[in-house]
Amino acid sequence: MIQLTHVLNDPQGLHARPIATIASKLASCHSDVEIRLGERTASARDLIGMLGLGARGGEELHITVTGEDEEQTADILRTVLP
Amino acid sequence: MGLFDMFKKKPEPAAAPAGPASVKADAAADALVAPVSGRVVKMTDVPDPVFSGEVLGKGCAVWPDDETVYAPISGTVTVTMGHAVGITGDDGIEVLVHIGVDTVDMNGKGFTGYVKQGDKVKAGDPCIKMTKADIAAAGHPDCVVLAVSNTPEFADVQLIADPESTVAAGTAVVKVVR
Repeated sequence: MIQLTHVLNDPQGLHARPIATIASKLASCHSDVEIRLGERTASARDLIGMLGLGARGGEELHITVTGEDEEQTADILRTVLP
Repeated sequence: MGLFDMFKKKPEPAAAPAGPASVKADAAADALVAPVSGRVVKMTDVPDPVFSGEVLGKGCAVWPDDETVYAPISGTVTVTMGHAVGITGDDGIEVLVHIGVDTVDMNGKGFTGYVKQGDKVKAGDPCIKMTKADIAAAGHPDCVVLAVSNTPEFADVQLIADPESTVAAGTAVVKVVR
């Protein structure tokens, strides 16, 4: 299991465009990715769930990656998170 | 009040402004209706790769003739963002209705929401009113995207309206194949 935190640089936060990018880049990965903001969590494969986090610029996401290719998955995540 | 009335009645929005009347929606299993009146186009013709690449899901888009955006499916509102609304259908179909391209940068200006997270809606219920002049002033296309965000869970998502045809809100336009 890999845990990472990320502060959103994009002032618009997690909106449709970055969410689509995250989901498409993770399509080739097999690990589970859970994104938490405060008390809400969503899978990085759940587009509506990620939108539902309502994450805004400057907010800190706590991300848990679990699976066989978790290191590779975490590396990809670091490059695509806005 | 009968035992099951609580499941039938639509809760009144507490804070959301009263919306216009609902439109009659075509009733068919696994069908999504047009969220707005206008010209239907294929998802692949939306002027934004996020949508045209079908990354957010398959579906279609409508170039609107009107400013009221209605629920494309009966279900529960899962997300409201000003310019977008997500609804999880009673039958497991998850839809995202996204008004315009890059309209997120308008920060809600030009959009009035009639629903909030957790609301039960029926297909054809009003969800958002957009002000087309505000979207034009911000320099954005105003096409309304209807995407099945859990497309991978189904065998296919098909456009059943003729591309480039003009439809009324509530007309069945997309079919989900299980």
